Amino acid sequence: MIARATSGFALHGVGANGEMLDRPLSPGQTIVGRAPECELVLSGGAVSRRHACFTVSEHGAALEDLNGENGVYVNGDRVRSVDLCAGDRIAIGDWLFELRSAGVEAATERRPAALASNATEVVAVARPRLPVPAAPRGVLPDWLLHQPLLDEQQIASAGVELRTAQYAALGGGLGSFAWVSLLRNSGIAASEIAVAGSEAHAGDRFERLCQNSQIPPRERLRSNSDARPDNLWGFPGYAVSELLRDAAHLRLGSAGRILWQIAAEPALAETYTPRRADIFAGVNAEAERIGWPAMLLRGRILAIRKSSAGRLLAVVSQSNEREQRHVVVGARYLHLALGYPGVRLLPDLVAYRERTGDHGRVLNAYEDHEHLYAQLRERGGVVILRGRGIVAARILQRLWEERQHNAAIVVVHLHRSRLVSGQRFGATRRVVEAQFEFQPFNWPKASWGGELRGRLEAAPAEERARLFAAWGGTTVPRRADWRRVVREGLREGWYRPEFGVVRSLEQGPDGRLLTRIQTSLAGGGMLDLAADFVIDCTGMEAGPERSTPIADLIETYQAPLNQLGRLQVNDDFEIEALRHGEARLYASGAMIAGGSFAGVDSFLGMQYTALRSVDALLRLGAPGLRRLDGWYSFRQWLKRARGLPP
Amino acid sequence: MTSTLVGRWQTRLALLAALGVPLTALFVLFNTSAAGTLILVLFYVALFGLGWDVLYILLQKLRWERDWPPVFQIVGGVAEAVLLFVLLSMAGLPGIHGGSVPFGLFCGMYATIWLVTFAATQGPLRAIFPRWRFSGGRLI
Ligand SMILES: Cc1cc2nc3c(=O)[nH]c(=O)nc-3n(C[C@H](O)[C@H](O)[C@H](O)COP(=O)(O)OP(=O)(O)OC[C@H]3O[C@@H](n4cnc5c(N)ncnc54)[C@H](O)[C@@H]3O)c2cc1C
Repeated sequence: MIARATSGFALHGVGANGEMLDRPLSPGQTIVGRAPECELVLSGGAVSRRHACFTVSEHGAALEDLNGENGVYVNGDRVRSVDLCAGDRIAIGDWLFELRSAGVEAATERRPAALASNATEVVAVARPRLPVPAAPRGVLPDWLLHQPLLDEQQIASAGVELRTAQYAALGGGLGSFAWVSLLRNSGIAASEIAVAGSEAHAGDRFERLCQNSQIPPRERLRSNSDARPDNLWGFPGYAVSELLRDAAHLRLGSAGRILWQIAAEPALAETYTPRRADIFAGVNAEAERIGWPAMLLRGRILAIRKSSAGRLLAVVSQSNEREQRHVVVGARYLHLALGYPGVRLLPDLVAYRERTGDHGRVLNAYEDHEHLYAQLRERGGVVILRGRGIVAARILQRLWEERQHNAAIVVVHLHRSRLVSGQRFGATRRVVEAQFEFQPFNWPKASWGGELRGRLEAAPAEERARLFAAWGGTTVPRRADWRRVVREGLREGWYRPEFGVVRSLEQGPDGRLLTRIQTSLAGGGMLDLAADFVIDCTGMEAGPERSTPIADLIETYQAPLNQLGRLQVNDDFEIEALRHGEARLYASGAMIAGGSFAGVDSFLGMQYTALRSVDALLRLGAPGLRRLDGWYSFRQWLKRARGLPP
Repeated sequence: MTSTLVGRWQTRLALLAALGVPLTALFVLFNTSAAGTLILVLFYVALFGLGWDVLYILLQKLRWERDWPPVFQIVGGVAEAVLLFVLLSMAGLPGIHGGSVPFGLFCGMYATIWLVTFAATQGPLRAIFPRWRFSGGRLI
């Protein structure tokens, strides 16, 4: 058995016939369904073979509906994928679960006698109204929710509060923040803006994803000095702030280095990148200045609807384990930025986990995997890394750190094929070193604001796909510390690349993981790689249909998808399928990748999409909106610099 | 910077008009006898600059990032000054006799204007034109 951190959550459930179930949720994913290979097998006709999937990390739990046929309900709301909190009531088929935090679970475990009575209480409270309950007052009934045009009168008669504003940002993360910050700096009062989202701070979800992918608060991100979510002018950049701080503390060497970096990057110096902690602190300070807390309505967005009064409505659920409650946010001009719907493993890793129930050794880098480092430090072992991007580089760096405590750690980096040369474009080519391909950011710099941006916007769809392929791909910034780790590992023999396509992943006779690959090097043939852990560093899958409100937009309004399978938007980043009278819905972030702008999922990109969509609103004559430019822009900039409200 | 050619031209002309003209006026104030020459020097900085920008764009296309780091701007600024001064002192330019511009005065005026406009492109311009950095340096 592998030592690992105790799970933070447990499920406590009751079936249709009163059968009971109690189990801790192990870190990583737990597939729930009728099929015997699921980790949690449930009986009952309304349970699908592979019905839902729980994902647990030390930072929280999430739930995703895997087939959407019979539905997954959280606190009475049907959802596609959601973050969970302890106390949430989850209905899957005829089963009803309560999610408990480790503390509660530990208590029940210590007092087994109390378990039965405890469980009966849960049955009594929750059994009757699931899976499709008759909605209590304050909740939109299903029949009403499923109409493409909502009558605001009917919302009122259901006892549901309707909050209206001129503008509404849906998501409440960094993409929403960029848009709201621009509106506030363009003359719109906080009272005219509503923000709906599940997190208390705009940077909360970003912080969690960073934490999971091995970026501690003081670590540097992959981001430009001028890309500041808390400053839409990008001036002064993070580099200048840090430089001044260093200089004030007489850290002149560090200040000088930063100055050289911003003058010469990326040609002659390594690109300056800000620290994670500085992003979060800056966003929180700016949030106070623009009045974010007062605009924020916390809850889960279930659906977006056109209304009889010519508005667009967001149905937001604030239901929890104690009560069900919906609030409807209505506005004329809306913006949608929901981030990444979830983490997805490589298919052979999923198959292995489902077959064996072994979750501790085959992991996605975005899942919590501290137990792996603890075991390696104690006993050493072999780790296979898959994926050659920045996440792999960060994990390699962490493994190098663990090697300072235990030299018996070996890393095999598995690549599909050998990279002989970097991507070409025009007369230029990216540099490849030790199978890593270098690029400071995930797109060439000029795709945010130079020649390449214009070129992409002007290109027809097929040409765009070609440009994305040329400029994107898996790259890492050229960082001296990472290059040192790779060189050292190759020289000392504890790090080596292997090349091949994975054919199978099995548990070997000695209990270790056997990855069988068909080598892609000359000669071919099969090769078995034995390891103690396999880490998938290929990243985050962000299919929009995995998000509750977006799956609903696609279903209800046939919102079209682009060639990458993301939401199609026009060049102003508007989802045209949701046009309704004067009402408009704009979007930004990963879910609109593949359109006229490459870096939509970046700090700077989200500021660009905000500018474009607010410029479109100016052309529509949105009331109260002033064009942020010239002298007015400078005055607003000054106010920010002095910490005054916009 | 990730400027396009049109963006470079617009930024150059706008900055020389907005900052170069008043700074030149300042120099004229203290060198009234050389007024015409100084004004022409500014004109040639702008005119030659338009040509230099074409060269910069061609070089920029040889860079994967299609960007132009500040150190390149600095090197370009020095090269532009050297060429202009060599031309002024050797052959002269229409309206300016060869060798009629004193080295010290040229350096003082060129360096002042260059430093101020360079500084503006490093951030302050964005406070006034938030779209500038996304539009490849275009202002209109
Ligand atoms: C590890 C990591 C590092 C990154 N580093 C950088 C970087 O250095 N520089 C850079 O430019 N970009 C970076 N990015 C990319 C990008 O800038 C961030 O992911 C950014 O947070 C995206 O903003 P967003 O608004 O799209 O998503 P988020 O900031 O995640 O915001 C989306 C919000 O919507 C909420 N939400 C989603 N669905 C619902 C629902 N149904 N109901 C209610 N609320 C909902 C979420 O809870 C979340 O709060 C990074 C991304 C990751 C994963």
